Amino acid sequence: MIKILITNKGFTLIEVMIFVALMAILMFIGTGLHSSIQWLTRENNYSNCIRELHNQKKIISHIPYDKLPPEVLTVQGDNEIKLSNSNILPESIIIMTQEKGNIDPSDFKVSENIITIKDKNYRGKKVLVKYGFLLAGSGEASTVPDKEPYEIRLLNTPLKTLTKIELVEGDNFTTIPSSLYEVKKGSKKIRIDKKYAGKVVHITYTGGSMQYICTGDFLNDKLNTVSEITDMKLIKIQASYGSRQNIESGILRIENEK
Amino acid sequence: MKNKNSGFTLIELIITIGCVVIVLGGFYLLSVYSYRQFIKIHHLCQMKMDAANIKALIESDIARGGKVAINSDNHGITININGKKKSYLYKNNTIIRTVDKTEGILTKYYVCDGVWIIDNNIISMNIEFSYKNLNTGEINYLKIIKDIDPAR
Repeated sequence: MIKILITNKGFTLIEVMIFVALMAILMFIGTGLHSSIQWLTRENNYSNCIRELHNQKKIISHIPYDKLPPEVLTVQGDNEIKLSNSNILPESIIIMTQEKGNIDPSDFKVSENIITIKDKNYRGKKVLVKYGFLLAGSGEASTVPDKEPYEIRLLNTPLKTLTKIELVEGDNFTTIPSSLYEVKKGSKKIRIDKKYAGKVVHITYTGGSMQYICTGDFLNDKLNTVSEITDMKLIKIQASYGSRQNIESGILRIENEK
Repeated sequence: MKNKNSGFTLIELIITIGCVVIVLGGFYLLSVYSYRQFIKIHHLCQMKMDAANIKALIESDIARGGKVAINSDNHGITININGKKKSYLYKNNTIIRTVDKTEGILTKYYVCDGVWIIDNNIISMNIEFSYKNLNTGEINYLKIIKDIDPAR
């Protein structure tokens, strides 16, 4: 019995090395293939982001100067401030006042594009609100299938917020009432009423795989960002597409440009 | 006299065969998977190339002074260059180009949707391809949106 135990040996170094080398080769090829597919998806998202940045700059250039961040707004009687844009990022909001400096984030609440300040002393006063908001994608259209299910697939998934769905007939766009489509937050598809079967619809929404965040700053004559009101704004659009690096583009807006 | 010569035991043989089967099976599965992934990447690249080529063709027609009109059903676009009409249409699950009643197919893969719209004064071309994922057996979709500036 003792003899048997002594003659039992483990694997030699060579055997273990060969096994590890084989496993390493298998793992390396597997990982490489997986990352190549991921790269292709990212590349697709990247080209979409570039396209979207170009479009969004055009859209922003037509938005009135006063309606772009940062905004100068008056606190209403109900202690509310209504921002001009939707899909606001609550954590990006900074409210500045002339007398008391910045309002602490715990002293105001944000619901969609309405900010409610707890302190009633701000009523009727002007405040400067810096914020960022998500831009909805542009140019996406689909044909509603002729037969069940009457669902359209989205490019930028999962769906975060849906702004509108429009029926497209040539150059004419008609908004479809929200009662005629079914949408779930986080889904990849939208179910549309069968009366739109075979028709083309245009979807305006924000999604999770590609995000476009718009922020702004006032600029002084030397083109430095300042926290006082000037007649120049630098509007920045940051596009993130699932990569570690984001793409950023900017547009300069001057108040009296029309 | 002691007989020291002994062969492999049954257990040793079974373990060796088991290991060989696992390693070779792994290589086989990996090679099949990698082949299918290669095919998938090839298909996706080709689809993107087709969409880019269609965009380039439309832009070259516009650059030659062509006037653009979106078809009423939004499944096509017509460019009028000095009276000569060129159409790009989504028809029979392909994108075709028509010049003087001569049709040319511009896509190699199954197109399940082709839409042109004018959004914010930009022509947005939406092409959706569908293909079978050989690894999962499911039908996958690839939507490509290309913008064409009509004022170019």
